[in-house]
Amino acid sequence: MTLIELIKNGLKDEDRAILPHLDFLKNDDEIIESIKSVNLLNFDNNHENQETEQTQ
Amino acid sequence: MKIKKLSKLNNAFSYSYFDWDNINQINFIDKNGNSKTRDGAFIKNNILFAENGNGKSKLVDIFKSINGSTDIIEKHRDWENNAQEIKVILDDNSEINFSTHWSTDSLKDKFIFFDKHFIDTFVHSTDPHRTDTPQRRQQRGKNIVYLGNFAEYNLEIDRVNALKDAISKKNCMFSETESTKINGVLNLGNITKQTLLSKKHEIETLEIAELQTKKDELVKLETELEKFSQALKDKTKISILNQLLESKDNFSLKIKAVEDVVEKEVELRPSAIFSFTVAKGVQQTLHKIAHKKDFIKQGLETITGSTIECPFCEQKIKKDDYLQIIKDYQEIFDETFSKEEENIKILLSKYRTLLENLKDLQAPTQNQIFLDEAKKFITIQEVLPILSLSEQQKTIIKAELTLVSKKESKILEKVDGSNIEKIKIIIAEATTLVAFYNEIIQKINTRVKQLKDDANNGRLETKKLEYETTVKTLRNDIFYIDNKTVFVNYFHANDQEKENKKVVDGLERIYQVMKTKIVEEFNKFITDYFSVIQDFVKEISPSMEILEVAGEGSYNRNNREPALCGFRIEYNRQDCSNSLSEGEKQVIALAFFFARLKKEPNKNKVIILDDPITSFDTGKRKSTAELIQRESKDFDQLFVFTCDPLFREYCLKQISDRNFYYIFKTRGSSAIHYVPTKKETIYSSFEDEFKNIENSQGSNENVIIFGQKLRFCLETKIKEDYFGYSEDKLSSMIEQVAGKGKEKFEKLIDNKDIILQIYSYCNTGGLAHYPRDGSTSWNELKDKIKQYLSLDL
Repeated sequence: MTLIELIKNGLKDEDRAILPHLDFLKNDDEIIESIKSVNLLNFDNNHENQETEQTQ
Repeated sequence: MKIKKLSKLNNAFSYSYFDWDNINQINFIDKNGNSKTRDGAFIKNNILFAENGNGKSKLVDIFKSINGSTDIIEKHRDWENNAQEIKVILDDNSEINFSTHWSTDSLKDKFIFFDKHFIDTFVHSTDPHRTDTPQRRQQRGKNIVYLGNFAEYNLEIDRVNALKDAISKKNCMFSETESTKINGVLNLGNITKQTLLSKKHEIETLEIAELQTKKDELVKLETELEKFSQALKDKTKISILNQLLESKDNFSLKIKAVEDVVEKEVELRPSAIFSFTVAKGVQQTLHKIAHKKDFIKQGLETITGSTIECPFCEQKIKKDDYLQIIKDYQEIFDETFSKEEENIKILLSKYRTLLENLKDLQAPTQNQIFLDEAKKFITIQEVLPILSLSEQQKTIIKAELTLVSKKESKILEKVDGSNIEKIKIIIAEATTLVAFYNEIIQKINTRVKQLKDDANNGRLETKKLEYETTVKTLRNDIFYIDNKTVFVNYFHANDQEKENKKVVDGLERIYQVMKTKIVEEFNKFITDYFSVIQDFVKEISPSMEILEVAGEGSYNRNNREPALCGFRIEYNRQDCSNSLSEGEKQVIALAFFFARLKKEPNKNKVIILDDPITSFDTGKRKSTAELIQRESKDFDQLFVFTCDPLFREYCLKQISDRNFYYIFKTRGSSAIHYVPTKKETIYSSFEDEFKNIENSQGSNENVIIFGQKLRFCLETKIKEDYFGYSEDKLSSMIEQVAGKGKEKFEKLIDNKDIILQIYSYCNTGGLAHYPRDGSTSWNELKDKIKQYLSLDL
């Protein structure tokens, strides 16, 4: 059993939501992409893009 | 789940072309004469014996690959271009074929291994005098260290920490990039990011459409502020500012007039005034007596109802001729008429005054001057209305005034042509205009008065500050509206940064929980395992003792000093924690392995031990075999691999319900050979086959197999059967030798040359290894086998 599995029941819901993405067979970038895919992370200013699109 | 057969092992390590049934499936006639087949499939417990280099450990490696522990199975050097294949048959006869990846969900993590790797992983000894790198020491740990999952746990913790740092760094870069976009604007507005963020809601609610309005308002307020500043400099001038004058003009047609001695408010009715008149004849009469009025008045006073003579011409008054004249005169000189005429004149006069005032309507001339003075100190938006009539209106009034003059000159004549209705409209308009004018004046005066009061009461400074604040707010509003799009984008990025930070914080919490958990797990390990390991160590090696967990019962990741979870070891009452022999390490490792088996919650697993006794003395080998039997019985299946004949014998004696196999390498491929239960002395099994060799085919493969079997028989039989090589005690060995009898040993000595010749033939360059051709080789081998049998060893 991994340490992640050992601790998961003791975490808050918001922290537990991160756990499924912590696949350590993947590198950090892949994990970050995985977290981004569920909108927990975002490094693009989408609002700015939306504004630009609206302007266009 | 049990492994029934490894039915095919093709090009997997040293197993180049192993086919289970080809080797192990044998048809035979039982004691009742029935034809039967046995395939030698694995059962619950399996002991596999092999000498070094025959493929024992490689078979363990194949099991590890099936378990998913590794995905590397090397090809045979001569078969680099050939495909690989592993075929496993389970006890439910299901078949699992592997050709590239060596594990499936059904077999993954189904095995528990004990081998050299296990010892190296979990048990370490560091000689303090040995040169060693810190990294190696760190990886391996000090003393006797069980790292268990802790090494993996550490990796997980490190990954979480690294991931947290990576996300945090990425978030900082994101934040910096977004900040850069607004830095220029913030410098322009001379505000900080904190100030900007504190006004987030305010800025978001600002309407871009209000920009121009606010700009206009700012211009006004800035002017106002400038005036306030001026006012503060010239306070004395403020005190002498004048109030503007209201227009006093009142154009009502209602006037005060005396009627019946009482003054009353009456309405001027020009039509009535202009209509005041007397009859034509009376007018002519009046014209005639224009210069004799008093005379006629006195004469008329003498006339009574009985007067018969005219008082002027003393002629008799003819009733019809003069009566009317007299009446007219009397009327003219009547007091009432006189009063009426006078009244008409007064009304005419008032009407004239009204008209003239109306025509000359204008604002008090000083007002503009007063206003201009006041405007130096305050902004007055109000503009003084033009207080005058239009030329057209004035023309109408002039015409009306002409009528008034005309009437005044001939008071008894009726005058037509009055424009009284238009005059009324003009009056109404003028009244409204005056009222509006006065209203503006009042507003201005209120401002002027307020200014003067403020100046007198020292409130100008406060007001100036209020204006300054308002101007500042307006300037800010305009700045924020001007840059609203940029700011709103930044707010959004800032929100995103906060959301990203939540993940970083979450990872930090996870990181902290993991650090706490690893300590918990370590303490749990101590609690759960220590006494169990202690007991097993005692059982395997009674003279050896693990005493305690060295250091504190904690796990300190920061200094990565695994010594804290080491054991202190004594062997024969000597502390040997820092200098364990290989055998001692093996005791610890095996004790831990058995402890793990005991703690393993899932017993549906296959246990594989690869020579667990290589460094053990005889006593430990025996106790190990006993422990293997006892501790594995609850598990699905057991495989014990050994190259040690003594341990093999212990296992065969101790472990019930077991099959026995030997692993042989023939013509470049390892193979698993089943040994029937009643012929567990391998060579006796082989000898049975030798006796029936005429029934065997002289294939190249059989040349190899039988050649190896012959070599094995010769060597093993002499070692074990003659000299008791597989006995654990000296007494047993002596008994074994003695039991053989002198004759046998004499025979052995007499035939030593033949024996060595056969052995040499099998070992070096002999037929068994390098067959020249099928029939020749087979015949040579058969001769050697017959020679061996004739020796009757």
